[in-house]
Amino acid sequence: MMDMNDALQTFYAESEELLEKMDSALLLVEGGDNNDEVLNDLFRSAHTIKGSAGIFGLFHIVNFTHIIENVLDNVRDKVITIDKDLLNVLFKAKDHMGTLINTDIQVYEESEELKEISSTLHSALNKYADIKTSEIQLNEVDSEINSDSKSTNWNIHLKLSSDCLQNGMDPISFINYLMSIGTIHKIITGMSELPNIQDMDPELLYFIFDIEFESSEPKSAIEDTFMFVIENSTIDIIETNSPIKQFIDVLITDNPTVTQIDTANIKQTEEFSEKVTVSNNDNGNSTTTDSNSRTKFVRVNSERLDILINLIGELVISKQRVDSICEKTKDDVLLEAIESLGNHTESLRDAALDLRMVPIGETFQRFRRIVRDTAQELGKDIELTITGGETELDRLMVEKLTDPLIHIVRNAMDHGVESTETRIEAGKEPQGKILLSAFHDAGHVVIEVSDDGGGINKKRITEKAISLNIIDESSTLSDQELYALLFHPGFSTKEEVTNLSGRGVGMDVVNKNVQALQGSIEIESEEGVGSKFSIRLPLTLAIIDGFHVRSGSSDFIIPQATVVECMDLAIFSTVDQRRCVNLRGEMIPYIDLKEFFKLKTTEPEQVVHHKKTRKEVVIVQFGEERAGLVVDDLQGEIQTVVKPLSSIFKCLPGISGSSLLGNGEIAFILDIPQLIEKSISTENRPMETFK
Amino acid sequence: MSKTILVVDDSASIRQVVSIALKSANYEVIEACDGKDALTKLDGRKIHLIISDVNMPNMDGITLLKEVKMLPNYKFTPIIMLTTEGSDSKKQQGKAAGAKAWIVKPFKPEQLLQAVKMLASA
Repeated sequence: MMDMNDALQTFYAESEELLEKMDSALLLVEGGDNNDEVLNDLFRSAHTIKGSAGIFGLFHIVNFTHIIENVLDNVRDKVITIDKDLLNVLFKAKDHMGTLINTDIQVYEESEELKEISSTLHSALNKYADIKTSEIQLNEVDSEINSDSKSTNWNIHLKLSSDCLQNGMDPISFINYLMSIGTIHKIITGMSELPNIQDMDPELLYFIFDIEFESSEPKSAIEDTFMFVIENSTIDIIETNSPIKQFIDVLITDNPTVTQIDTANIKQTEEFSEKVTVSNNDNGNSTTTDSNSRTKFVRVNSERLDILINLIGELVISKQRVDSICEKTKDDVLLEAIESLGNHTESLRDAALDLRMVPIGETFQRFRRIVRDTAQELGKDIELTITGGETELDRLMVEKLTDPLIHIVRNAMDHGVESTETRIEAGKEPQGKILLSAFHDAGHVVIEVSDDGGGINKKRITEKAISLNIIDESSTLSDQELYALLFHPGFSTKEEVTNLSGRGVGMDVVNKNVQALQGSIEIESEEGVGSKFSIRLPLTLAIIDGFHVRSGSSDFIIPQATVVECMDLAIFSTVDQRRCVNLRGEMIPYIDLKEFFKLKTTEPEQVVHHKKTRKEVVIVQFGEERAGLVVDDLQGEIQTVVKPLSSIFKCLPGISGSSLLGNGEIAFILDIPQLIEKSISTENRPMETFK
Repeated sequence: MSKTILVVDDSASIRQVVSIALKSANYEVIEACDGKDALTKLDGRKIHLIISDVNMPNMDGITLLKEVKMLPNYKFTPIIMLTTEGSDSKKQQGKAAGAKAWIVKPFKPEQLLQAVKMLASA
């Protein structure tokens, strides 16, 4: 059985979504796109949050959101237009709603700070909401408080719809109910509508009631009494001590402009229903079928999804095992069956991985807000352009990518884009531009953040690096090496770390986070023109297409996407005693896995068995860098499921994970970026001779 | 046999709360997330009552009401509007389109059940 707690969880999830919707709607409005649909969305989001919060008794949210809703209602009805000031307040108010939703009501009641923010925002919003609506707030929210106020005299004029008896509504029951919420002083039954006896239908009601009533309940409570008969009835509830004008108003405006006769809920004879069929064809579009075009979504707990994907991973492994066993049987029928099983396993794997894929666009949308706020803080005019939002990547990666990306974008805005004056001086457009884009590139996803700012000042970096003793004055660095210094811990060229880009993490942490996702960051920059940070990531973390190699008695897997080519090491002559091979004119450093991992040499008899002593070199590439990995034996392509290493192995350099092979052996997945880095740094060391 | 009620609201949490209340009183509940969705649920099965929000994407509650009133099988199905909109003009619109009752959120489940009991008694 569901309980309210489930519903509350739904509320939280739903509110989060609605807040995001509000955010993008506000940004659209800011961009000048304030069509009715956007304004309606904006209103509806606040409206729904308020409505749902009320159900759960979260009155701190209700009270705060109410006024936002009023303002948005006025905006929607074009009573007011959104100007820059209002927009700023609305952004803040929206953020505060988010805070309130995440704050327990008791905590809120005790937090002066939060209440203070609420009231500041309220007073800022108040001038946009009219007074009428704040009265309603009292009625709706504080009706309990109102109940002990002094009683009021009411004059109730009741002309119920003539068919109300047929509908099972007895006027006496309403009068009884009124007596329970107040005192009836007098009832006058009017009979002016009574027809001649021969025209009288005994099932219809002809009486009109005038009731003098005293109650401490608000007007709405009295109105609610008649909620089931309001159709086709004339019900006037007037405060007797109110000015006479109101009587007249009511008489004029509330004149029963005979609403359509439309009765319903009780058994009706067919002919009766013929007579009362409504003439509501004014907008006669009978739409009943065209709602299938929308894609339907189902919410699934992400843990369950992970379990499913893990299981499918295991299935892929088992299948490989079966494969290798079947190979030996040479049974054609069996092999054929296995092949078809293989196809299905592959489709199943792809489908499962697809489940984890989400378009990056949603994350990108958040940047509109971040860029807007940051630009305002910095006093810069910066426009964000987003492309490739439909590019999909692993949900887990998207989550982990957000923070590094925020940092890079902030950095670009703070250090990259110049102030408006400087830009004008340099002959650039006054408005700075940030481009956030994503695209697929050879089995990878590339996310680029580029700006049209001043570019990276190489001289400043060199000076700073020298002063920090990261490099010495004599060293000459390539551009890439120079930029890589930015990722050095503690490196920041700005004299004082600004509030913005200095927030929380440095570029070194950004780099580490990206590397943890098996990704890399490349920097391109030209002074005076701008910079570009490219994050290159694998499509998914769960399953990799790998290249199986052996070194010593250990199995290794090289992620397929990084493999460039394989060669016999013997054909290369070493260059100047450096650990380097000459690949068609390009000098490529290499590393011997056996040496690197300090592996035992292959047992002699196995060498004899393989009849080979030569070594192979696998050329791998990550980003712009290449390196060679020297191995004993190439085993071929393999598709494998990544199993994360347990924490005690985390410190092992050069290994990013493990995997089970079809024969049950464990293989290590190589961390190519790390190995390339290692090979470059050890390139100049003298070689040990191979045994 | 228990009565079937169609609950239309774009807020999943409200649908859930209403469903819990109704199911506790032994009603069958069908949910729809907006007016259009609701119309697809009116596929010939017996529905005793519709409870609908007013402000929803794709098709609002008032339009839904009007549409329902044009469906031969459902034109007599009573409809309760359940909404935060307390404005008189909206109520008037709902009334004109044939709403049987108007409950303003936040409501108490008992309130809702009482209204449902009265209207679903056919």
